[in-house]
Amino acid sequence: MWLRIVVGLILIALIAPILVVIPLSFTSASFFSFPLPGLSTKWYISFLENREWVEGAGRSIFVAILTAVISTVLGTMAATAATRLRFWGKRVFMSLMVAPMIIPIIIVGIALYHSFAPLKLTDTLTGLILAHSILAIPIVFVTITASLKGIDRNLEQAAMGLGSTPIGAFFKITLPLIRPAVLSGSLFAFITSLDELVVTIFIAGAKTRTLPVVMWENLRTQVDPTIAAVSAILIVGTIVLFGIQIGLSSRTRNLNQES
Amino acid sequence: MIDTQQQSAGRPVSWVSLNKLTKIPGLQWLLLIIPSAYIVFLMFFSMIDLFKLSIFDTNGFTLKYLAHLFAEPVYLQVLWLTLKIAFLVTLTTLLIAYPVAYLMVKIESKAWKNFIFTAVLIPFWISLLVRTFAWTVLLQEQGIINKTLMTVGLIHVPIPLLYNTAGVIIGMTHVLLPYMVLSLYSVMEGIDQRLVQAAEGMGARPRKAFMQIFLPLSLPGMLSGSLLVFILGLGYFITPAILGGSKNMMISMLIQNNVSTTLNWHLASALALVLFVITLLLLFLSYFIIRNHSVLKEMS
Repeated sequence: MWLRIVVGLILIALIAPILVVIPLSFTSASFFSFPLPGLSTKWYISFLENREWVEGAGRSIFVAILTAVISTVLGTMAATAATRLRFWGKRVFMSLMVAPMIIPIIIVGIALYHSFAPLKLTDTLTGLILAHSILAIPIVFVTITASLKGIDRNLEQAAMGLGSTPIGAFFKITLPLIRPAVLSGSLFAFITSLDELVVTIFIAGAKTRTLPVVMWENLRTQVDPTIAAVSAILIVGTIVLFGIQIGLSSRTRNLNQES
Repeated sequence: MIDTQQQSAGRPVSWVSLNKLTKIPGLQWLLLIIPSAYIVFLMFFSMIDLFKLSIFDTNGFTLKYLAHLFAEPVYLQVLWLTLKIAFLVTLTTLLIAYPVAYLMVKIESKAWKNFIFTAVLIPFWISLLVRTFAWTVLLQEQGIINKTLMTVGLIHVPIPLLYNTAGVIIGMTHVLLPYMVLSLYSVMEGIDQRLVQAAEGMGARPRKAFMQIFLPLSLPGMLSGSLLVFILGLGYFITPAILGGSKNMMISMLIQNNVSTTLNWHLASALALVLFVITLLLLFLSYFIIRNHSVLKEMS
């Protein structure tokens, strides 16, 4: 019983700080205090009317979509190689694929800045997408590798025995089986890119500031409640994305069980 | 014969060419080569280029930047504070995450287990900046935490929680807790609960059975989780930069400062190299411990 109470308190401490932001975003005051002096939606309007915020948000979504596409393709390729091919140095390959997750991100940030500057890739969306995809590939790789390990290889062998090519078997048999993992992997990649700041601070310039960069500058200089409105939108958006993902994966699971 | 012709005529052209493509031997190796080339060219070569700056300057090979780091007490202080914060964060996450993971393996109801999982994972995916922002509001002098403590009567003057080490540790613990819970859970899940039941069956009190059976068996999870959190904590930047203020400089903030403000790339590179070497040493250590630990050996 004690254990349950302790864990319950821990979970509240884990979630409550995030949820506090939502009522805060409806404050009528221009500073943060509880209880709220009055309710207002003016900080949401202030977000929508500010070009810096809106353009930052649009840019972030654009970069995140392309990052998700690139890292899902490359991560799936790497996961397939790691689980299906036999080669010397597989452990080195796997470490290489997860390395960007473990190497301190500040090092990756300044290293990319240092090599992107002479290539004129700083302050470009291409530069941001390249940098973000490096950080997202490990997440896709780990998610899909776990899923590929759990798949019965006999199904692929059977398809190939019936005349399918390895690539045909992959697209017609394996890919549908690991689809939930591919979808989660790309969702994780999308969120990673959307929230990435450390590398972005170095790569993004005046023309390519993403939403986190605008938030960061806001947090460091003047804390204006617009940031609470943006945060509330991000919280609700993330929870909705996860709801969709959980719904999708449980539906595919049910379909697999029925068939 | 006619049948196959009809079939191939009916297929889209791309499928035919794709099937032909797969006949080229060795094509499968592209699966391996393309992703590794991407990481090696973009990240690895960039890092090597960066680290070159710490031991080469316009005059050729030099160790003066690295020597400078170890000669100046300022840099050693930053390094010491970084290690201290990472250690304290590891300790608090371990203390908080252990009961959560333990309840997750103990609880029978699947719905509750999923609920705990979701409660742990949602903060994990909510924007780091949003979470850090939330803490700046909560930890303020007139923030909810101080106000509540004062209303309850535990304190009479607000305690400073923001822009100091306490703030950094609270914020980082919140961010890194899910990593610890997941590491602990993955090991605890594999522990045979019958061993604990056997101990209890032979007369051990639940407390003793836990201390002598379950706790030692969960050690691998505690070690791997702690090393993961410690490594991630060493390199953290955003949370300490916002919650810690300028007096609580961690190594990553010092690196950023050298690149963006003082434009001293050689020193930034030397600091990055030190941080990288510490990370690698810790990774080797974890590999070494996991290989030589008796409990771990039996598990693998």
